[in-house]
Amino acid sequence: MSITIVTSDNEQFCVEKLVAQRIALIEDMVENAGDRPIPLPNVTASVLRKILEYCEHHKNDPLPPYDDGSRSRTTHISEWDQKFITVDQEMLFEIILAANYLEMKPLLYVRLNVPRVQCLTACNAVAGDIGCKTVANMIKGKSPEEIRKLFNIVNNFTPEEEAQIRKEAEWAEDR
Amino acid sequence: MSSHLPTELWEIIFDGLLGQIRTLKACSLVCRSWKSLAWKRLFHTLYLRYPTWDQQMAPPKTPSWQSMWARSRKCLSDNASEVDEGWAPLLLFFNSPLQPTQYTVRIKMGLYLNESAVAPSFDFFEADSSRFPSLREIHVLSNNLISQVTLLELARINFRSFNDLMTLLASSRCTELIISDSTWKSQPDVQLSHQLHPPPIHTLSLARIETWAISTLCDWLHHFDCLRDIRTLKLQGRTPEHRQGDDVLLQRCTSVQFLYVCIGDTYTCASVSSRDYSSCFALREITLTESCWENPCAEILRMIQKLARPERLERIKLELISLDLVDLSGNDRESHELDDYLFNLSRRAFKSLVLHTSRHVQPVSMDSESMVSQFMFPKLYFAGRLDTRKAEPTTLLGRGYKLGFRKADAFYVQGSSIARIDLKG
Repeated sequence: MSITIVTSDNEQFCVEKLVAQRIALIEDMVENAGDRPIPLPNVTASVLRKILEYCEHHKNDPLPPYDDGSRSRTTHISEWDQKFITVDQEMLFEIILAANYLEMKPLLYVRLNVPRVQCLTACNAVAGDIGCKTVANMIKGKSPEEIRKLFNIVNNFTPEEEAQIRKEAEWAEDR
Repeated sequence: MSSHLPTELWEIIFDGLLGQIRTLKACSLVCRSWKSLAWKRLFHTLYLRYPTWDQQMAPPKTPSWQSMWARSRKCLSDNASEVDEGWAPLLLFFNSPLQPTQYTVRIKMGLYLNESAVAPSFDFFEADSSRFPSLREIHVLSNNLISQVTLLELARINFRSFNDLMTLLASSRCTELIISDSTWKSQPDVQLSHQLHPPPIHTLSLARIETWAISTLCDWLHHFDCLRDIRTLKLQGRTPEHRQGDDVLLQRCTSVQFLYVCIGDTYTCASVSSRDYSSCFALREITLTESCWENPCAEILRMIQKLARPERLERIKLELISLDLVDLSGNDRESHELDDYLFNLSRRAFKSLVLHTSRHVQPVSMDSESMVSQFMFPKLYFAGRLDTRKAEPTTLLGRGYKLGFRKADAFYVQGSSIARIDLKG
């Protein structure tokens, strides 16, 4: 059985229900939509294609442990996921935003029923684990100037503020 | 927020940088919004350690805990000349206009006490204060903290159980115990209370806590014959239900020689004489503090008349808040009755009535104090039994450490250590 998803740029995707249901938002909408296509006005075709690729790859993953809302502090990413997320920065941020949108209120659903754990964790994995960890890895070890350049951020500190921040930061220990 | 992601997603990203101190420091310098994200993680937990001085080294010249005494491990040095310099920078850090400590949720303190160690003031690490608005936990790492405590002051603490309090006390050598507005989730284990030996408490103040807790503490002290060590009792109950606890203390602590009563307002003043003093056989001195002067002489007289042995009374100390309400006409019948009664007692043990000027009021001239004394207590005045002096701040007697905690949601005791203090959320 398959369902149809329509992206913000009006592209239609015919997706196996088992795969689509790994996305919590879609699982919610399937019940109400009947045979009608499911619109995703905040997700473009190129981004949805990537997310579905991820869901397809992980559709048979075992049930993960209970998610208590805390995130793993490790920034390790598996080989396949690493390859999957090797995209340009614009696409990376689009994936994170889309996954966040599709995830909705993960903790609420996790506590309600077990099957959603799989769905939501798949989304979490994209948004929280892979996407965000990838960005975190991009930041690691870089200087303030390199980070600004990487993300096109404008330095809005006054020289005095910057000096004060450097001074206070000395109190944070390098452990 | 930069780079098109909402703040909540940057929060997730920055969670991936937890523990990456160098990177977080770099992030804090990227832009203002990143500074908040980075500092939230950089200063979430502060590690403070108190110095261990050698005996011959002079302690820092801080007269009181107006300045910070702890230093981070990074700034510790074996160089004696740097010891004095160590405190000021951390205080500057705490008081920085950028308020880095606004993000601090947890403080881990290593306390290694010796002759020179001085703790921070009572409310220095108070939760919800302007300095630490987010502070929720204090972890105390110490080998010998409790065992050296001689004054323990616990205010607004919610203990997990009464056993925790007994364990804490039994680990200390506490001679002065002050507990107020505290609760216990469970009542005591009698077996445990018979195993733990209480410290040598000689000054006790239990204010606004449940009567059963006061009775239980008295039972515990009585079991080890320690109730008779209590020489000083401070009563601060201001409501009828809490005054029941005061009465329990008055009835059980029969060796009390020094009694402090906080009068407060007119309503509580009227209750001074309603307490049960019939078991105070050894009372020598009564101090009435924080009185709003609406002439409590009648109440004081009734109180003295209810003492088991008024003839043993040596001194009464009165703390005056305001002299404006004092009747200087020389016709104050109530003060004259008290004057008569005390003058008669002066033929026995009574030595003096001491009138303090409270530290809360504007200074008054010695002339006006002398006038008050003369008009209100003429017999005592001319018999040289009146003493007017400024109130002296309470001083700690003997050697030891004062330890005080306020507003804690849970107080975890492990062995002779305070393992963790959860502050009120």
